[in-house]
Parts: sequence; structure tokens; C-alpha cells
Amino acid sequence: MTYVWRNLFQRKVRTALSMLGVSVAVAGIVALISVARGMRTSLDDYMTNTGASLVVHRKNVADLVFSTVSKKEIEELRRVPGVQDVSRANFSLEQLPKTGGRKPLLPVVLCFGRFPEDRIMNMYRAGLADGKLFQTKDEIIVSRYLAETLDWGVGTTVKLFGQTFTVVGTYTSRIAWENQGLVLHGDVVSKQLGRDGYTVAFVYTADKDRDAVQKRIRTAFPRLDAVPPGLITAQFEDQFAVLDEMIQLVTIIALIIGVLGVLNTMMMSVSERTREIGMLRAVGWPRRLVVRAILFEGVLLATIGGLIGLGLGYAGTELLLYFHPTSLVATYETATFVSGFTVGLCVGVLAAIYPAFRAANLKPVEALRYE
Amino acid sequence: MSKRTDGDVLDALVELRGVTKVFEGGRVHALAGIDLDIPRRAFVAVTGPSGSGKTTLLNVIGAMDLPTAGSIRVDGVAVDDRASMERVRADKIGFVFQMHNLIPVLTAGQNVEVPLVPRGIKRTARRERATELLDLVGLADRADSSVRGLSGGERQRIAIARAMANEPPLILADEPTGNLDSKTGAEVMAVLHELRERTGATLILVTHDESICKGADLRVRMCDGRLE
Ligand SMILES: Nc1ncnc2c1ncn2[C@@H]1O[C@H](COP(=O)(O)OP(=O)(O)OP(=O)(O)O)[C@@H](O)[C@H]1O
Ligand SMILES: [Mg+2]
Repeated sequence: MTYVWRNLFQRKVRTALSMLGVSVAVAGIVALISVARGMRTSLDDYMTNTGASLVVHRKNVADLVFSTVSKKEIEELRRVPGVQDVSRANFSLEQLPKTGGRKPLLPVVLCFGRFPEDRIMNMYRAGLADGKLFQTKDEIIVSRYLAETLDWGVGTTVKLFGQTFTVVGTYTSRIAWENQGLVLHGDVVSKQLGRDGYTVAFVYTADKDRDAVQKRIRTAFPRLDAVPPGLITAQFEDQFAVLDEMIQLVTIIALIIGVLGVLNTMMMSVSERTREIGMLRAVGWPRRLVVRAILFEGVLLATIGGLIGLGLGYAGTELLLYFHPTSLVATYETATFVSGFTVGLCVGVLAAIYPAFRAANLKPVEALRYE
Repeated sequence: MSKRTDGDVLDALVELRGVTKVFEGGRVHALAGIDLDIPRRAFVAVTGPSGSGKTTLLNVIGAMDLPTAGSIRVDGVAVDDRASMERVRADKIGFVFQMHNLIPVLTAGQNVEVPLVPRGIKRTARRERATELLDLVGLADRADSSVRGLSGGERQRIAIARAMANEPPLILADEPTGNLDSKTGAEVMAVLHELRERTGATLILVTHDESICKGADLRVRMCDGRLE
């Protein structure tokens, strides 16, 4: 199909513009899905990073934030055979206090409430960049990202929810969520939230005991659930449904924009070639061959545009990550690129159908008279 | 081959019976009841004033358009629906237009290959055939040139090669020299005649130019949609 190829190639600017349309649509989808996937996997990553064997949370809550595990339940969990440690964790999202420093990516700060004696602190010990871990209720450790953007170095005093804290350490993490936050005594967070219990409990067991402990917890605590940390997002699928809907919406918008762009090009290219199409019919091309040639042109346009879009999407995402290295994450999945490319192809086919049938329905006699 | 029982031409390639074509809901009678037999291997010249229906006649003979009334057979095939039109155009007819109508983005050789594409002929075989035809019209060395750089006469010769690609028994030429000066026009006509003789095809030529009607086996003069 040299004919199709040359037609695209000879009208460089126009072809390039509509390819760009397809590319941008595809790139947008790839970047969006990759970042969304990244957020999702980073929650799983976060949970896994704690080194815990099981995450225990209140059953049937729609969002982990609404989960509570009471102090009494914590004590009972500690007594379950096979359990080595139960680390309490709570969590609050606070407004950022006004400071002289630069603004971080999000105008909020994630406050992770932990207890110095719990095993989960090993995670922060490993990531400690500067200073030491907190021991008292008026000490905090902050992520290095926050420390740098807000000028909260070790030794600084910080006012948070009307209380004064001293920064005693900074930590780094490969988890986006943690880089946007700080860690302080769990009782302080409980008091701030006005809640008696904790959000979740991280249960540590020997590897071989994990499944048995999970079963025991599930039978002994009908109102709690225990899952391995890597499966936490699967447990809260609903929470991500909104994100998925947003992705779908953006995909549809990208599809429409892409189709309109390519449709415009294809219509122009068909109308410019009216006489040519009349000639093709005169020399014996059947309608379906004309249809096929134009569909092929659309598909070729979209395929190349789509491939460029995949590259652009990847590059764009990397660029985003470059500017927000600690607060954004992306996960590249084959499925993401496949769906991006599929959208591109759909754009090509959808946008070519109408012009193709327009071309095929031209009356050869009239097409040849066309000036 | 068609058998005829009522006429004097025994072996007609094209038969028109009472062919009428009206446009604009009957206000324009482009063809008003034409009966015509065109013998095989003939050179037929069609002349007549502008608007007399010459192009319309070629269009119905060439299965580009259906007549409003009457019947047409080309090489024994009745042209009466879309399928038969597509078949006749592909197998029986070669068109040479006043405008060469070549595809500007393709090379000379690829333009000649165009009618071979729907026949499912392999690329190499197509190329071979195109080179052969370009050789016949004296443009063998231009097979890989873009048609954009070619002169009017050269383009028209390529259009002739294209018309011959499927070895059709009938060549229809609508003022093929209309856009050329008389010397180039004569060259193009020479090529057309040479190919016609070589292949034994029938040529129906529409023209305003008396000089290129010379040697016609049959002269048809049209006036107001009728034969004179
Ligand atoms: N598609 C059409 N719609 C309406 N009228 C048409 C159409 N095609 C042809 N006609 C009319 O039919 C008549 C014959 O036209 P035709 O093109 O066959 O003439 P012609 O002999 O080829 O003229 P010329 O020498 O100028 O090419 C003219 O009056 C023309 O206006
Ligand atoms: Mg005419």
C-alpha cells in the first residue's frame, strides 16, 4: 500500500499535526494511568515496607482512614499465638503550618502516629538520614523532603495543632506517601483525632506462622480483618474506583479529541482527492478497496501517532517525576501501554470510517468532474 | 462475443439500444434515444458541439453511469447494475481523460500499476507489466520518476499505459489531446494508435479536433443528444 504511505508522507505538516493529536491523547492516558497505578502500588509498597506480616483493620470500612482498632483489641491481638509484635499506627492529615520556607507539592502534611517501642520503628531507623528517632511526645521526625522544603532541619521547633514539637531526625523513603509526611508519637495523634484506638495494627509473625495467625485473627475477631500488606489496595478496591472512573473519563475525552483531529485531516484529504478517487473507480477499483485504502490511512496515522504517544507518555511521566521526585510515583505496566495504544488505534479507525464511506459513495462521474 | 439477429454488424463490441440519459429531473436530455453498434478493433471518432452529449455517451459506454432508459452491452456483458458496472470497468474498459488524472504522490510506474491492484496481482508481476507498458509508450526510463516532474505529453502517455494495463478490449478517450499543443497531441495520438493496433482494442475517441479523426473506421457526430 505504497499509495497510502505516500499520501501521508507527502502531506507532511497536516499528517504531523494529526499524528500529534493522537500522540498527545495517547501520552495523556499513559501518564495518567501510570501515575494512578503508582499511587496504588505505593500504598501496597508502604504497607509491605513496614515489614509486617499482616495488616489488621476494622471490617467493612470504605476507606482505611475510617478504620479503628481499639486498645482492648490491640491487647487481645498481642495474645494471639504466633504473634511476635503488634505495632499500633494511626494517621492524620493536617494543614500545613505557615512557614517561611518553600511550598511542598501538597498543602497538607501526613502525620503518622507511631510508638517508639513498636517494631515498626525499625523501618524509620533504616531510613534515618539525620539525627535520631523520636522518644517523647514532643519530638518528631520529618521526611527529608519536608525538612528541605520547609526548612525543618534537626533541632527546629515546629508548631502543629497548637502544640510545639522539636525535630529530632529526618528520614528518607522510597514511598511517596511518607515523603509527604512526618512521624510522631501515636498518643499525640489519637488526642488530635479525639479517638481512643488506632487506625490499623501491624502484626509481626514468623513467616511460617502468617497464614495460621491470619486465620486465628479472623475467627477470634469477627469485627476485624487481617490481610497481608501487599494486598491492602485489593481490599479497598472501592476507594480506587473513583480514580478508575476519572481515568475512564479522561480516556473518553482523549478519544473524542483524537477522533475530531484525525477526522478533520481525513475529510480534507478525501475532498482534496475527489478526482483521484473518481479515477480509481473508473479504472476498476471496487468501493471496498477505496474504503480499505482510506481506513488503512487512518490506521497508519494512528499507529505511528500512537507509538510516538507511548514514548511521549513515558517521557512526560518521567519528567513529572523528575520535578516531583519524592511525592509522585509511577508504575509502568504493560497493560497501560496496551490500553494507550488501543485508544490510539480506535481513534484511527473511528476517524477514518466516515471519510472512507464518503469517498466510496462518491459517484465516479461526478468525482471526475469535480474541480 | 454477442450474436445478433437483427442487424448488419455481426460482431459488435458495444451495443446501445434506445439509450437515453436525462439530468435534472428530465429538463436536460443529454442522450435522446441512441442506437449504436461499435465493431471490434475499430477506431471510432465522436465529434459534436459542446454540450451535445459526447462525454455522457462515453460515461454510459464506460459503465461509469447508468442510462435513464435503454440497454447497453459491452463485450457481451449487460451493464445494468452496480456489480456489472464495476466488473465492466475493471475488465473491459480503459479510460484516457482530458486531464491525465495521475496520482501525484506515486511514480510513473506505480500509476500504471493502479488498475492491477484490485486484481490481486503480485507486486513483482505488477512492476513487470508496468515497465513493459511504459516501454511501449516510450517512457521506460521514467518508471521510477515522480509524475510531478513530467511534461503534459509524457503524463498523457503514462495515462495511456495505465488505460492499457488490464488489456481491455475497449479504450475510451475523452479529448485526450485537449490540453496539449498540436505537436505533442499528434505524438500522443501516435502512441495511442500504435498500442491500439498492437492489442487489437477498440478506441472510441471524443474530440473537437478534425485532424485527429483521420483514419477513423466510424465517425459519429452528435448534436443535442442524438447521432447525426
Ligand atoms: N451531471 C450532470 N448534471 C446535469 N447536467 C449534466 C450533467 N452531465 C451533463 N449534463 C448536461 O448534459 C449535456 C451533455 O453534456 P456532455 O458533458 O455530455 O457534453 P459534451 O458533448 O461532452 O460537451 P463538451 O464538448 O463541452 O465536453 C449538457 O447540457 C450538460 O450540461
Ligand atoms: Mg465533454
